[in-house]
Amino acid sequence: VSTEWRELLDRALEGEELSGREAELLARALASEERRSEAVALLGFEGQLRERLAGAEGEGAALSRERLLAKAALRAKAVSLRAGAPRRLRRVAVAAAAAAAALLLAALGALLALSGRGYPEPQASGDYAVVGSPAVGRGARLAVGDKGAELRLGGYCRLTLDPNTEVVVRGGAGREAVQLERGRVVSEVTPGKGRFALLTPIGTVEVKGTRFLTSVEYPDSLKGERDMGKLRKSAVVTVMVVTGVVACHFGDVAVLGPGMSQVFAGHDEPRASLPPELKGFKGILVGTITSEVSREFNLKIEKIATVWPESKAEAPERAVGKTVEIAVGQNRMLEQHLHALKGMRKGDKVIVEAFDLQGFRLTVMELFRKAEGGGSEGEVREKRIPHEGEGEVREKRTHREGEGEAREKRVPHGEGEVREKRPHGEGEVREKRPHGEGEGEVREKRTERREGEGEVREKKTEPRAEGMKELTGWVKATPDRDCLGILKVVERVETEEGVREKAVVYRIMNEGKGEGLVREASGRRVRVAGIVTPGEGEPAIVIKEFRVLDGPAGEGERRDKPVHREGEGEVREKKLRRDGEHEGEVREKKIRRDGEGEGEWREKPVRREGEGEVREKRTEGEGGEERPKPRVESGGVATAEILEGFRGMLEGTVVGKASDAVILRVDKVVKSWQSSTAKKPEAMVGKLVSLTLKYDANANEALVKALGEVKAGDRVAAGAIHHEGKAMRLVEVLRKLEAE
Amino acid sequence: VDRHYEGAWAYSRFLTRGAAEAEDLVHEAFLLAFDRLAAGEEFAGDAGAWVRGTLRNLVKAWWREKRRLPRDVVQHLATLVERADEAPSLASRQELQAALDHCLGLLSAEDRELVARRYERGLRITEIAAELRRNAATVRVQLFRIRQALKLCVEGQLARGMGT
Repeated sequence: VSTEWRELLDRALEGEELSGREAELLARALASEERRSEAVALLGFEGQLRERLAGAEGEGAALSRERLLAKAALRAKAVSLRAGAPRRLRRVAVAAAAAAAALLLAALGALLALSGRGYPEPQASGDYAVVGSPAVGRGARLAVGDKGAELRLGGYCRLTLDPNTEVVVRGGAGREAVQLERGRVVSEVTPGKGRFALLTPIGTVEVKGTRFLTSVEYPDSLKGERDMGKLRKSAVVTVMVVTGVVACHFGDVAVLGPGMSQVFAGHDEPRASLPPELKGFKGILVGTITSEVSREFNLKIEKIATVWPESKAEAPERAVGKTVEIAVGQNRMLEQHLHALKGMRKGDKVIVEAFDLQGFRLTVMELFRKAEGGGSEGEVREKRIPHEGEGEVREKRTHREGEGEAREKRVPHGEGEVREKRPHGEGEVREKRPHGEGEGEVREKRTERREGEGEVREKKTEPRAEGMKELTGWVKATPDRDCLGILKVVERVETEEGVREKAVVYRIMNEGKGEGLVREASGRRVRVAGIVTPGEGEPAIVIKEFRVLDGPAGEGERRDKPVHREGEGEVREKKLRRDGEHEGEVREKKIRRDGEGEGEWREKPVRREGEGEVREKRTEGEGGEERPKPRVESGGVATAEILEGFRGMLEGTVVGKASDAVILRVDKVVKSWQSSTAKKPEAMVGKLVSLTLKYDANANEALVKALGEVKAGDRVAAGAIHHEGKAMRLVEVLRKLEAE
Repeated sequence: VDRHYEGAWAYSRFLTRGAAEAEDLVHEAFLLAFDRLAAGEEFAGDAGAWVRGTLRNLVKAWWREKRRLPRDVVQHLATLVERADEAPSLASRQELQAALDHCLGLLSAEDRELVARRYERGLRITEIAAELRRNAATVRVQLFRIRQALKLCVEGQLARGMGT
């Protein structure tokens, strides 16, 4: 217990815990005005010292500022959706009343809608002509005459259009949008009713309730020119905010408040509209960028690589050859996508997961990168009925014990004796049928017996127990907690503002197959079936069945855990190829991961004691080359005792990555630095260590960049220092090692 | 944002002694400011001062909730930092800089290095201790003494009119 109040003050500010006695002493000391004055002087001096000496904060502050602006833009969107919601907890009472009123209004609105007064159609008045459609409606182009016009949308947006302005009505119910081609618009948006976006040739202005003015001019174009879509011109967009806040997406995000204005300049690109066949589309496209690249760009579609089951587009394949506008949306991948955009140019071929969230263009979701080596990247998946796991019939082939090498072949429909080997790693084909009941389903595992192919098994699983849930997520052993481990499941929830992700952590209980799951799959992606019990904190799950999904890091195909038993020789898994086509793989996994910034744990397969050789063959997108695989024993997570005091260089294989950390399976302790006090650093070999990069103003840029570039499966050398417990810091260096 | 962000960010790092939450706190203060603008409310006086005041309140809550400091200690700290922020500077920036440079030059190499780690690189005491493989309490006490010595030295310099 210290009795020196200045020291206690210093410790309190530093965040160190004070004992009750120390806190009392400090409080008593600061009750004296004389000491308070002294303390003020001490603090003031320290502040000045920091201010004078902290010269290198500029860059850190700039990055932090950018993050604030991005956060503000996201928040503005979210708040605009939460009409009447309380903004501060301290206003709970007021908010409750407002929420009640909002509910009442919503109910009233619903009644009105039911009584025939639905969502208001766009209405225009004044001097205008509708070009290319019979009336004012979605998609209609309005050319305003000399006297100006007014456009009303959704009952909450009023747009005053200046003479000679040209706009196209876009958007939909509650997410109104207008494309300003030329001229000037004053937009008045009533707060809390819905979203509004003003699309300009070089960017987008998004608002919640506000009043702002926007103009689009083409300084270089000839007066009276109307050929807006063909000539590339310099466009100048001016945004001036009267009230409220607007977020301007013109390459970067700028947030403007009342009285603020900003001018944006850029090149007009012909704005592509969303082809009707892509309405409601959710999936992965391959195509070529046909415009200059900014947050929005045009993509000429060359291939519909994947259609997610939730997609509502009826015939997306008909969009091949068409050009669509694609925008990089505000989601958790934003920073990575912006980084990817920097390396992209007009003419580049890209692979992009894109959803129709706005009705007039597609929005980039998770996957966005350059296509390398042509069209074998995209996989095709069968469109399935939602509620995965319910009422499904699984077709699965198994091998008997003692089989030396099991090969499966499939006869394509109607093609007689032609047999095709399946490329390995694709897993099973699922055929789903509509099924209303989630419980009591019957699963069938069946195979067709063919000559020389071993025995046919037919297995019916038991009806699923009540409360049983199927989940896909990542497992992590947690020896320091009251459960065996945790299962982290990322659920994607579709909201009006897009798809959001929510992570739910389940505690794996020491019952059922929990122990086996944690032992076999820690750090890996699994699909489990189990009984979930909600709790006060994290829900608990008793594992009934599980299957490891992640195998070797590859190109994102589904990886089944190899069927393998002790004493077996070589086991090969082979897959079905879709009938007569070369479409790539059929897989179960919803989101294709490409190893970049996924934040997932992924582990390469390891050879286990007593097992025969497991040979895994992968269908690689680019040439089918296999990555070198480390031949080390699976040793679990390195303990704090092993790591204690370690400072040095490690070599290992990346088995998982997050935005600020990398998980390595250590192959080698290259060097222990002189300052290292670890007693037995070599004990790290074969174990998993997590190296965290400290992100702050002093973050090493080279490390940040290197961390962004490594992916699961890479062999790397990394500088590591022990921080505390099992935590290690990534320091000095992180570099990929050449393949062995 | 352009005008006030950097100052507020440094202030937040100062109040939280470089804790990881410093950025979240300064963001929260600015988001509150945006809310205020969105609601059509004006800032009475300097917007920067408003942000700093809001930041202090947020840090105060943070001290209480995250650092678990006793309520009365938090109240005292909040008062102290507010007064320190509002206190007129002892001297002009130039004078102070000159005096500081002089006094820093009088420090031993080891002490100078410690000051650099703490205030130039913005490391936390635990981080410095880890780097130097020393006890955190020792580092904190040493820094405290260095500050005391510097403060006396700077005050002496300024009093003697030798700041410039």
